[in-house]
Order: sequence, then structure tokens, then C-alpha cells
Amino acid sequence: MKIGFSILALTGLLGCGQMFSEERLAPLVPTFVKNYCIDCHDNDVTKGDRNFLPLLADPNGLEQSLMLEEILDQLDLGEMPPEKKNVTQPPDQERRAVTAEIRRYLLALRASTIPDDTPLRRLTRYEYKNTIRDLLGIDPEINDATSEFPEDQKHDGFATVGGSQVISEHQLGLYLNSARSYLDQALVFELERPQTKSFKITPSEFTTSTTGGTQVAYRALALDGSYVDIAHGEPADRRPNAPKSLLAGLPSAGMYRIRVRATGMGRLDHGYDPEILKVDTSQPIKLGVWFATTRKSLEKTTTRGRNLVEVFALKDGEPDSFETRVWMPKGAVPFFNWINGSGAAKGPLSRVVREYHPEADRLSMTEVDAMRERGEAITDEEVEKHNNSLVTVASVYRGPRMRLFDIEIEGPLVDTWPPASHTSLVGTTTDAGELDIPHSMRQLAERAFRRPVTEREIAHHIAFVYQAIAAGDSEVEAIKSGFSALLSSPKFLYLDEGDPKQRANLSPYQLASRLSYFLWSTMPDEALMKAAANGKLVAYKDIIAQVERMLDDPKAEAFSRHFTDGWLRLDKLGKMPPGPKQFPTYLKRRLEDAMRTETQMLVSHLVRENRPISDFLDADYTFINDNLAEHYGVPGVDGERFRKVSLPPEVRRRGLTGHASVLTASANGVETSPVLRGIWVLESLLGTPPPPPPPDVPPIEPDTRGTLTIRDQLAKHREVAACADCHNKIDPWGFALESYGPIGGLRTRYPKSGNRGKGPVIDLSASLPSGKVIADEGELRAALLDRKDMFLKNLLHQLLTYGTGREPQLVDHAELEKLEEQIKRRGYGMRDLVTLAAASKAFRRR
Amino acid sequence: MPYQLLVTKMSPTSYNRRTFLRGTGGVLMSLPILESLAAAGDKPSDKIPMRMLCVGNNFGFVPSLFFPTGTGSDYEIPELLGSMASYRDQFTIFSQLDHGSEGVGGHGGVHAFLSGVLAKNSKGYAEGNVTFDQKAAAHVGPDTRYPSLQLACGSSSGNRLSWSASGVAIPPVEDPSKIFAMLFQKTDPANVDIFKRTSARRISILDLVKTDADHLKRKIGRSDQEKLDQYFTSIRELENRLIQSQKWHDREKPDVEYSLPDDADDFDFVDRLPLYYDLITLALQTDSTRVISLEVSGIGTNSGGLPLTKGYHQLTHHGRVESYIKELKLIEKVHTSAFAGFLEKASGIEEANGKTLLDNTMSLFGSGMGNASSHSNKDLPLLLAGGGFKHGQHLRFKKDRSAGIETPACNLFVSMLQRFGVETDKFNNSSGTLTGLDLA
Repeated sequence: MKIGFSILALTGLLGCGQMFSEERLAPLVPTFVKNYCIDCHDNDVTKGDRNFLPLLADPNGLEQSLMLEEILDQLDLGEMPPEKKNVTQPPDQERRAVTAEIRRYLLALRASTIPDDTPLRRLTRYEYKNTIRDLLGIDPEINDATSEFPEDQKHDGFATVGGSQVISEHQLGLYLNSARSYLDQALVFELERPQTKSFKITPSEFTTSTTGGTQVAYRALALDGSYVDIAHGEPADRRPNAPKSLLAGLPSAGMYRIRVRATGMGRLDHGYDPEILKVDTSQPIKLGVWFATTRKSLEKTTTRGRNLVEVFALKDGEPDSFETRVWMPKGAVPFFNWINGSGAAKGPLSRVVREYHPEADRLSMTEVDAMRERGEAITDEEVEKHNNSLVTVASVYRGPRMRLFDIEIEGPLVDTWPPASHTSLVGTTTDAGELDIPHSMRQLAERAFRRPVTEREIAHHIAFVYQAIAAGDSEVEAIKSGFSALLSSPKFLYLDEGDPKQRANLSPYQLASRLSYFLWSTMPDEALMKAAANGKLVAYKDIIAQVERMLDDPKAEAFSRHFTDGWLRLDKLGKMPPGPKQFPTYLKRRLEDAMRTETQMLVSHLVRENRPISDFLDADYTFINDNLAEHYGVPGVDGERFRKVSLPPEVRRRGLTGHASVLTASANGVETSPVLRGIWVLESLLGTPPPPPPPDVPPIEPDTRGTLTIRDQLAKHREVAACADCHNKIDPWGFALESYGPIGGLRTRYPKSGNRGKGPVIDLSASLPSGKVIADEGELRAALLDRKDMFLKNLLHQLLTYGTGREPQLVDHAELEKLEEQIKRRGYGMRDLVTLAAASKAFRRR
Repeated sequence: MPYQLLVTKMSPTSYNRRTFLRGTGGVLMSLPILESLAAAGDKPSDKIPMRMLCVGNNFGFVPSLFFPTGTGSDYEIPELLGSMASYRDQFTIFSQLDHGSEGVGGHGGVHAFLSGVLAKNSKGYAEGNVTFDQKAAAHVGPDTRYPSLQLACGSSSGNRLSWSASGVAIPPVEDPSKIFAMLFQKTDPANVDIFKRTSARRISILDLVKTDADHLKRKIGRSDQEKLDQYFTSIRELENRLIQSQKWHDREKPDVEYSLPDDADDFDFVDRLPLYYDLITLALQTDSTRVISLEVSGIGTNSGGLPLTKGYHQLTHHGRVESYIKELKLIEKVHTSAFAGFLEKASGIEEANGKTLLDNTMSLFGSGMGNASSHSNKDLPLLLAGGGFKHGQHLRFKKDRSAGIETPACNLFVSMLQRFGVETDKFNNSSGTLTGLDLA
């Protein structure tokens, strides 16, 4: 019921009790209900658990108004009355008259009861971080001081909705901590310009052994020490390769340049039987350059605190130099791995050695133990003989491996001193004693509170700094405490939008913040603040011009990321991650990030190019890299870089319903369900979420023994009348998407159960609630395209919810309808949609 | 009394690491604080407080393996609980208890385990979806170094076990080394001063931002003021916490002769889980806290050190396939054996009131997931050990929804809260205390 206005309106009305106005519903509505609805929705039949008799008895009661909201939704959607043989359809004119009257009535009712402004809202975690980034000029992701923040509460996927947010003592404590820790990073009082050092790393820092072996980790140094071969690796590496001299961590924080000379070896010319080797060599060998925030993050069961800097595809047998730059904290440990390797080297190596190089085979004492345990006779002499062979694995192995030569790490690279983070806060002096404290405090407060601030307003903060100095704190300590306080103030943490009683619309500064957090997820920049100050954020055309400018700024990537996460519920990705055994590529090919990137790039593309929103439903192009192309079966895409690719006809996926991100987020990591995917279509695309299931219905227990497919089970479920009404509306939207597995891979059969036989063939056909039969996902897309206007309405609704922090209300309805018409006339462009939404009255209203 | 902390005996299958652990785990406790407290008071038995431990795992247990078939006191110990058999008179198994329609949401319902209320539905409740362990923690107040501890073996940010009264999940501490440091690592006297000054400074900062909040309050609308009230509450509570912790800066942390292996954080699930119970035992015994929750999440990406062919989550969707259940059983037995290890330790420690640590600790073990294979949050697995109740039985509660007969799991929580000393006869959707659970 997201169309229009529901959920908030509903709870709002319920909250206000029986205080009803003089407003009366015109008799044409009850008459309509009597003529077209009551046959199926009375005491006796009560379809969908809806009984409208009370509405006929008293059209103006409280419960009745909730019924009216539902009726309005259903009429708007054209879902009711159902198109069936014995059901009379109302003439269009009558339908329109009734919806107009219900709308008028509910609107008048609401106007007299609940405020419909945005509740005070706090910066979400990502907004907080982005704001810190722009306020202090540092990268808040490295040494992430917010990592312990509780997860933001969400309203339909959006963390920006004030009504759903909470704060606790715990979180306030974390705000104090993180403010301080970020200030420590930004300010360099009393610090000397750090010396740039060069760390030269030789291959022998990874191992001094030249023999190699059939171990989990394979590292073998060249006999002349000129390179090291590494034959194990995966993204979540259990044995990462860190240079010995840097294990204690870098001596100081800063920007570093990392240069590596490396090549892939033995990928194409190993000559081993692939069945024995069992290493995927379809991609070039890739070098992952990483750093761990501390040495602890290198331990084998953790991946926390590991940061991937860049991935390089290596040539085969041709050493090349690679360079990257990254900001690393003090104590960081850079490390390297074969990022698309097959995990432990032990399996492939021992198979190959046994088969091809028996002269290099060794027996470990554990193996000898095990053999003797099993009763296999092996004498000590035999063991000795076996293990005294002079042939090493390294000298004979020619399989796939990564070869590293010299590595050079240089830094911290200091362009200016003090760094920009320091000068933008307190100017060029690094002597805290020279600081103009009131001036610096006011300057920071003004940017942090996103509006003009007088010294008087922060007099207590300034006084605190002087008191601290008087009490014996150092000046640096006192200033940092003072700054921390400003960054823990509710004036910073909350978006202050004033009192609705005094002003219905946002002031220019308030609008600047709302626009900025909508499109950039961060504080306004100088240009926007200037526009607010100079009265250039009032006229419609000025606002449009700002929005256009903001959409062209790289910071608008934040919109593609966070709006998309909420709208398509991609925030669910990674919550129930697919198991590494069932879906090894999910981790090994780093698909989760890739999936998210694909969908974000599609959104960015539509915004940038003003492409029609129908591209979301059926684009015959997408944005992928080699890993995702492999997942999709799209040939000819090499390398990590994401690029626009036209989808060949044999790849059936088109638009969002073919995005692995969506398909993974709408499954549970283990198996798929047409119900979940059907709900996703209804919620995210059509904007008509089904009501939640009645509380006492037992969930469906999947029967993986293979006797019943999910279709059979749902069919049984729908035989129960209580379930049928809703599931007839949900399930059909999901069946066509069953052609994609839990991480979005194409499939034609369900997984087999147990160890033999084939799983049942998947039937994609479904009969939509309207009666239309669709055969597969292509026809599903056609059915969605038929509902392009509903999709538009929903998208606008979602944009406004995300951007304003509240659902659009009934008062906005007339304007939104006009906007929709305007966007349709202009050709359904996504950029038009975002721009017009941002400049709308509904957006500028408090 | 001196006490030998032994590492749990587990299933007969032996894993390499465990052999090593036996070597380092043997530990001698010094005089626990409780005993010295008791010695100082007139009536020692009054001085021994009740404690509470709540263990929740995210995927539940296979119902047919967890719940006994018979009821009463001569039920047959189910396979999964075999490792606890020798303590059967010290615990009670409850079946057919759950949170009704309130805790339903599949994986998204698990976090309602200790509250009975989903976060998203918490608005209608006076204290939101506060969990009952936090009600107990509020009752303890400043008497211990930590009002409560939240621990987690494995991480799952979506499924937090403990929630505060303001409806916020409390992030648990995950690394055994961090837990140990919090409890027992001595603070350098030089640092104590720094700590004190830092916390004094923080209290001043709270004053400043409170003034800002007062300003703001005058400028905003009425409905916003409720939102801002949460901020004011947070200031007040944080202030209290800082003041409380200031007192503890001057007191030394207790001495224990227990050392974690250096790479304890790095242990596989199967070897790491018992360490949490070691630390829990020590924390309770030294009265560092009286309320602990332990969240047991995934087993990690490497099968947790068990011989598995499939992922944990995948196995829980077993669809009653035998081979799945067989592997799943291996994991679930790690959970139950580790808890059995705790029962062994806690029942071997005598406290100054003549009872054992287990008698003085209500130890709840269960999950907000009833049956992972069907994503059902009904009929939660629940087991309560210790705490001075009359145990040794399997209580099956009548359930017939169509006739409106069902017992809220919150009734158990009310009974536990009362036993803890909280004066309440209600917790969220409870309908009373739990019938059949009596004091010993």
C-alpha cells in the first residue's frame, strides 16, 4: 500500500483516536461499495478477510477510514474488482468519481488531525561519515571510528526516515569517541612534517625456503632470491603474504605509493590434466594489494580490518610493474595475495606431485601416523628414503602461481605541511598556543551546524576550552575537546528543520541541507551555502540549477548507492550470505561488491544520461566486470574494470530483474522462493506491498527431499482460502524469476536432492492476478512495462521518502500527480524525475 | 576455594587443537572477590547475589533432536543433550513456549529471543524491545564493574541478542582476548589518572551538548521534541555510566590465574566456543558482572574446524534430509557440549553461601529460532539450568491456538526476573509467571 500515502497516514489516524471532524463521505462511495464490492466482502464470504458491511452501516467511523484507504489502493491499482466472469466491472467514470471522493474525504480528515511534517532526523551512519569526510578533510573509512555504531533502524529500507530512528546512551558515547578519533587524525598540532621513507622489500621477506612443498600455503623463493612464487590464495586469505620487515606496522600514517613487479606463471602451459589440477585458470592470475590496519587482521580466521587497495591482472610469464597509492594508518601492514587463486595450495599440489612428480613427494609424519593407524605397513627406512629425495617441489612444479619480484613502498608522501585537513580547520600554524580559539570554534560550528553561527551561540563551548586550559590541560587537548563537543552536539548530529508552526517550508539553509543529504549524503558544499546565503535557493529555476550542478558532481555517487540500497532492498545483501561451500564464487570472485556496483552504475547511468526509467525494467545493456560476466555467462569481458556491455540475445537477463544483486537480496542465501521475489516485485517495482501474513499461519517448510517443488508447495498453500487471496497476488510475480538461483545464476532445474539424479525442471509460467498468463521472465518484463506508470509513481514515492525522511502525504498527492504527468510528457527520464522531485513543493515542505 | 578450571570434555572425536588446549587450560583461581566480601559481612549468605546468563544461537536446534519425547522427570535425555546428562537434575527443558505472533520473522525474528518483541514493532511497548537481561542489568546498577556483558562467538550484526530500553541493539564483544582484557587486565596506575581525566572531560562535554539540546528544543516542533528527548535521556544515562565507571577506576581488577592462548581469537569455532564459557565462569565468579548474554552466531567460513561438506546456514535448511541433519548435528553438539562444560565448571565451584556458582546463576540456553528448516520462530528451544529452581524435568506446555491456549515464553522471563530480585509481574507479552517452575 505504498501508493499515495498509506502507512504513516494509517498509524497516524489510529493514533489520534476518535477525534473526527465534521467531514462526511459522500453517499456515492457506499453506493459503489454496495454495487461492486459487497458480494465478495460481506459477513458470509469475507474474501481476503475484508468485510465492508460496517462501511455501509456507518461510512464515517475510524475503522472505516482504514477500509477506505485499502479500497482506494485497490481501485488505483485496478486490482479490484477482479476481472472474472461473474464480477461486474464499474464504468471508468464511476471509478474515477469514487476514487476522487475517497481521496478528498481522507485528505480533509487528515488535515484536521495529524501533522505531516518530517520528524527531526539524525544523520545516518553513512551520512555521518561522509560529513566527517568533508568537514575534516580525512578519509573516515580507514580507521573507521564508526565500526561499532549500532545499525541504523530502517523504514522500508531507508535509514533516513526520522520516525524510525533511535539514539541511545551507548551511541552517544560512540559519537564522543569517534569525534575525538577523527580529530586526532585531522589535526597535526606540534607534529613535524613526517619524513618520506622508502621501504624496499625483497622476495626473501615472504619466505626463505626455496624448496616449496605440498602445504596449505605455498611460498617458494627462487634459488637466486630474485622472486617468490605463491601458489595459494583467495579473497578471504587464510595465509596472507606480508613482508617480514613491515609486520610491526608502518611507523607513520599517510599516503603511500606501492610498486610491485609481478607476473603470472604456469596458468596456460602447465601441461597437467585439468581434472587432476582442479584449479580454475579461466581468468588471468590476479594480484591483490591490501593492507591490514593492524597485524592482528592478518590472522587466519579473520578478515576484519583488511582493506583491498587494488587488484591487478598479471600477464602470463611476462613481469610487469604495477603501482597504486593509498592512505594507510600508523601500524598498518601492507600485504599481497593471489586474489583469484583456488584457496589452499595443498589439494592441487599434492595431487599433481603424486601424479607427475613422485620423486618430489614427501610423507608428513601425520600421514605416516595415519597410515600406521590404518594398519598400513610402512617402515622407518621407507619413510626416510621417501623424504630424503633431493628433488624439491619448487624445482619441478609448473602449475599456476603468482610470482612476485621486488616491491617498493614509499611514504608518507607529503604534498603540503600542515595537511589540508589541519589548515581547513585551524589555519597553517601547528602551534596550538597561537590559535585564535573563538574564531576557529565559530568557523567549525558554522560548517558543522550547516548555517550561520554567532560566537554568542557557542559561548559555552568557547568558555569550556579556556577553562580546560586554566585547569591544566594542554592547549592541544583543550582545543580537541572543544571541537569534539561541537561534533557531538545535537545541532550537528540532527538536521534542524525548524518549527512547522512557524514555517511550513524549509528556510534556504535548511533546504540546502536537505538537498545535500538527498543527492550527496553529506553536508552542503560552499557553493550551496553561498546560494542559501544570497537568496539563490528560493526561486524554482535556481533550485533546479543547483540540483543539476549537484547531480554532475562525483559526490552524487552517494545517491546511487544509498537510494538504491533502500529502494531495491540491497541493504539485505550480505545479511544472510550464501555459504562458501554451496556458492564458492560468491566469495572467491567477490561477487557481492560486484553485484552492488552493477546496480548502482545502472542507476547512475540513468541519472547521468536522463535515460527513461523503463530501462530499469528491460535495459539490454548492463555494467559488469570479468567476475560478474563469468557469473552471467557473458563472453568477452576481461579485467576488473566495470564497463557498459550490451547483453547478447542468448543472455536472457534484462533490467533489474536480471541483476544478481536483486536476485540475491530477494533470496535467503540457500534457496529461492517465488514468494520473496514476488513481494520484492510488488514492493520495489510496483509499490504495492502485500499485507503481512496473518500471525498464525505456519511457514512453509521446504521439502528438499525432492518430492515437492516450491511450486507444488505453494499450490497447496493456495488451496487454503486464508492464504489464497494474498498468494494469488504475490506468487505469480515471483515464478518467472525462479530461472535464477539464490545468487542469481541462471538455471533450468532445481538443485538435485541428495547425491544422485537430476533436480526437477523449473516451470516459469504463472497467471497474474489480472488473469494474464506469462510464460517466462521475458513476459514478466512485458507485464511490468505495461505497468510503467505504476512504476513511475512508486519511484517518485520512494525518492521523496528517501529525500525528505517521511512518506509523501495526502496533501502532496495533487502535486505528485502533476509531476508524474510532467515526467511522462518529457519522456520518463530518470534525471528529470530526480530533478523535479527535488524541486517539488513536497520536497521543500518541512 | 581453589578451583581447577578444566577444559571441557567434548564429543569423542578429537581435534588437534583441543589436545593442545588441555595443556594450557589448567588454572588455579586466587581468592574470588565474593568470598572476601562474604568474609567481611555478618551474614555471608545474604551477600551472594543471584546472577544470570543467557545464551542464544541464531539458527536454533533441530526440534526432534532437542526436545525429549517424554515429559516430567523421567523423560529420556535427547541425543543432542547427551553431554549434559549427568547434570539432568540441575536443568529444566521447556517446550511449546514462544513469543506468539510477536516474534515472527524467520531469521529476522531471532533478535526477539530475549524480548518477545521485534525491533520494528517495538513502538507500542513502553520500553520498546528491551531484552529481559537488560532489565536485570538495570537492577544491579553500580554494584559491579560492568552492569552487564554482551559477548558473541561469531558475528551477525542483524541478530543481536541484547537490546537496550531505547530500542538499540547492544554490540557484543567478540574476541576472547578483548573480553579477558576487559575483565582482568590491570590498568597501569599512570593510566588511571588519564582515564579519570578523560572521563571528567567527557562529562563536561555532555554538559555542553545538553545546553545545545536545550537551545534546539526551543526552536523545533512538538513532535520533534519527543525525538530530542531520546537524546536527553542518552546524555543522562551516559553521564551516570561515566560516574559509575569513575569509581571503578580506583579498584583493581581481580587476579585470576587463567591465561588465554595467544592466538585464542584465531581459534576455529569448535575450539573457541569453550573459551567464552571459561571467561563467563570467571566473570561471574569474580563478580565483575552479574548479567551476561552470549550470542553464538555462524561458525566462520571454514566449517569451524568440523568435518562438514556444506555451510551451516545451508545445513539448517535441511528439509529433513538425513545427510544434512547428520552434519548439522555435529555443529549443534558443539553448542550443547560447550554449555555442558559450563554446567560442569559452575556446579563445581562452591560459593560462600554454601551453594554452587550454578545454583547462584540462572543459565538460560536456547534460541529465537524454533525450526530453521521452516524459518519458524514458534516452539523455541529453551533450557534453564541453575538459579536455585527445582529442576530435573521436561515441562511441555499446552498449546492449542484455535482454542486460545498458549503460554508466552515471556512468562519464563518474568519468573527469572523475579528470582533475580526485580519487582515485576509483567514483561512484554507475558501473562504471568511460568507455571511449573518452582524454587528448590
